[in-house]
Amino acid sequence: MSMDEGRANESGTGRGRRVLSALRVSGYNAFTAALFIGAGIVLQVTTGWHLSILLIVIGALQYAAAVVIRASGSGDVLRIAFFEPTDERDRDIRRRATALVGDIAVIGSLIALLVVLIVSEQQSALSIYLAWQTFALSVTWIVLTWIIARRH
Amino acid sequence: MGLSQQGLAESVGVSRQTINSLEKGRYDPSLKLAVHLARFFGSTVEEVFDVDG
Repeated sequence: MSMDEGRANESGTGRGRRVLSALRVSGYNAFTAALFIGAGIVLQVTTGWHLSILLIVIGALQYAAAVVIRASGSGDVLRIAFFEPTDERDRDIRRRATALVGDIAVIGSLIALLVVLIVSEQQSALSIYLAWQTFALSVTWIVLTWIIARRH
Repeated sequence: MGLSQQGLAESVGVSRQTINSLEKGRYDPSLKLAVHLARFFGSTVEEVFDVDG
């Protein structure tokens, strides 16, 4: 191999690495995009449901948005809202906001359950669902608190 | 020193918004970032950050 061919190979490899690096997104966005696209493909294959294409498009758009936001040097609010934190402050804000969402979800579930029980005066599918949701969120809270406390 | 927030941010590997928040006292850095900043300025953490304020 000549020196020029060697250099061309190196720059090709370097370019390839740069492209791959530019397409990298956070684990959260990679997972949710894959979930949407995978669900869309499965639905399309098994049921031929025409809206399955919409799921695939949503997954692709989410991935593309994450790539653009990560690469564009966008502001902190946009980066964090799209789950593409870049530094420790971004991650700290994301942790605090996510924790608050969790608090609101648990308390909101409980309030919704109580309102439905009061308004409907009898057991309904909605009240059963809300009861299970409240229970699941509460158990998740306890388990995660235990796990995280063990690690810190 | 003639260094912008963006320049400092790139030097220590954080975003410009993080440097801005640090300067305004709205964000407390991790120990690792505090030490990196102190080293960047050739100073100590106690001299760079007002821990008693």
